[in-house]
Amino acid sequence: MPLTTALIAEDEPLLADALATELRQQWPDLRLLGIATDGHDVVTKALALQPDVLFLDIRMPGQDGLEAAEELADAWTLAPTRKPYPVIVFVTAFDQYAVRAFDMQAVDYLLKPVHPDRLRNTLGRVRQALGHRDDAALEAHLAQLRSLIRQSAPPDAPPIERLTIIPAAVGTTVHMVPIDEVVVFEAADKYVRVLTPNREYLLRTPLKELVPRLDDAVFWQVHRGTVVRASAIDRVTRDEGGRLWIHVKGRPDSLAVSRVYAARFRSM
Amino acid sequence: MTPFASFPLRQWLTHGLLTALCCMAIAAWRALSADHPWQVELVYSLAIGMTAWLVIDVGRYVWRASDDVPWPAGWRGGVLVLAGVMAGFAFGITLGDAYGGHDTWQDILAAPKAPLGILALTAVVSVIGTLVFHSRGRARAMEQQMLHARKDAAEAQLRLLESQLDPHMLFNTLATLRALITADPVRAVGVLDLMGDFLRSTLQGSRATHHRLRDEFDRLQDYLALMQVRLGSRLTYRLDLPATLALVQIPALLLQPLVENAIKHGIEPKVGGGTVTVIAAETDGTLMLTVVDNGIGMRPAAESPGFGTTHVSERLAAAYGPQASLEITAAPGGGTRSVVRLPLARHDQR
Repeated sequence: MPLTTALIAEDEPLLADALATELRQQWPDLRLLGIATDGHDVVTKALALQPDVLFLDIRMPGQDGLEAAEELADAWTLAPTRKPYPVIVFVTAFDQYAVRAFDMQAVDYLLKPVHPDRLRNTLGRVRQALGHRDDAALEAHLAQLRSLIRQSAPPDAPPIERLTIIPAAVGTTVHMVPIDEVVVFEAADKYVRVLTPNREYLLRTPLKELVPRLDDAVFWQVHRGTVVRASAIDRVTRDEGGRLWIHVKGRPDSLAVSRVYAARFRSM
Repeated sequence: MTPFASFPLRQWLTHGLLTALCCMAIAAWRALSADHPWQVELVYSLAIGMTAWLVIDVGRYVWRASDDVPWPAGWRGGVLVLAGVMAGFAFGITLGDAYGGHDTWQDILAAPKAPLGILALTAVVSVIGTLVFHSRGRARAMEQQMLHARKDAAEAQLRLLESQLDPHMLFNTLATLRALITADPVRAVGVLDLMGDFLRSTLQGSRATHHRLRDEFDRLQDYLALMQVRLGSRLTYRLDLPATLALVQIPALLLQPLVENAIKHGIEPKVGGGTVTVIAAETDGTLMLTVVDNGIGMRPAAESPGFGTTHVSERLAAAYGPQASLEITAAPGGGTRSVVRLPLARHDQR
């Protein structure tokens, strides 16, 4: 039987080594494939090495653990020949919001410093989960991810104020765009593209900060970088690779749907 | 303002009880001194007194000036007391008459001055009672305010301490220490000493108000060395303090939040890390303390200042007024630059 493989994502080398040492002691047969040091590196390495278990630090440079998990889920499931999706264990030093979200979603996580007893319990659950990696388990994991992404608020977040009018600068003019005219929000580098049926604006606020201020019944997040007004969706098509694409009424764009959010577009 | 939203029931019942006791005492005195049947006196007394009390104690709540002040504003209070006295007298006399069979109203019509005594008694007792209850209420309200203020102060102190001891940093450092104890015990001891120094200075720093620039830079050095254990090659730092400025007094740990932010928001999230530089310089009698990093920089739109930066601004304002400033901008070439400017006292300059 092939050995179980693991990948550790941790930007602090001492802590990565400490976890590796502890794992070697508690699970000698677990083969450690490597250590990823940032949020982009972990996705690249995980797709290349295809581990069975992934220890994912939620605070890493580049992009954080939740974003990396979403990107990984998206890319992984598109290639049907891949091994089953890895069992993910989140790791955190102290993040009260994340921990609260984890508890509410019954997601397995480890606290740093990692205690041998807690690790033993977690590994027991990991071994069990390894035996049940089917579509249902994957869907459950994706649902958890969706909730975690929605819930994890930054520590000094201002109180949530619904967006009604968006001031968007175009050169020296500031256009006041009513939210009712917006059909798509799309993240682009450090900016966010705001699309109305006829125009396009650029905002400097990151998408992560806009999303909590939108009514999630009206605006659906379909990708970590894309939010769409549900009523503006004309149709959704599936390409040969299995990826879903949204076609927006009145605009030529098609928007990719990430695997994490694809459940919404299943026919009733 | 809903009329009976938060009616202070217990207080009201206490007032009622005290009023009733007072009425009974008056009745007893009248019964003894004028040899009237005590039951009749009791009924008159209670009827007058309790009615007056009800009108005043309920009326003041219904027409209160605000939820914080359960008493009508200005002249309305006086009018209410007057109304209470009148109502108490009228209703009480009627009730007493019904019980005792006496027709006091006829007596009044016959000799208008006769009831003045009772009226005066009612008025005096009502006013005294009102004043007593009123001042008790005020004392209680002030006590509540004091408790609230104390609670707010305690919370603010806690937040301050929390902001100085970032839990995320603390637990990551503890985890690092734990890892080092088995992997590299000698280094572990060094890190433990650094942590001890840092914690001591942070906790002391929140009590001591000023120290020398040299001490400030020493503390920053401790902190940066500690962070470097965790971040490894992802953090480099440089501290530049000219000897002529070493003894200048500044508020203790003024720059700590700025250096923390540089690491937490600038260096840590950047793939590959970066450098933090702290420079002290003097131009035209102004001391310039600069913290600059080449991390991921501020967002293009300036975000609202966090607790740490606000705290620095507040400390500067408290110590130096408008002569001091904190300016945070994007550093040329990427990253963030924070500059603290404060006036140099003459004896600081050499």
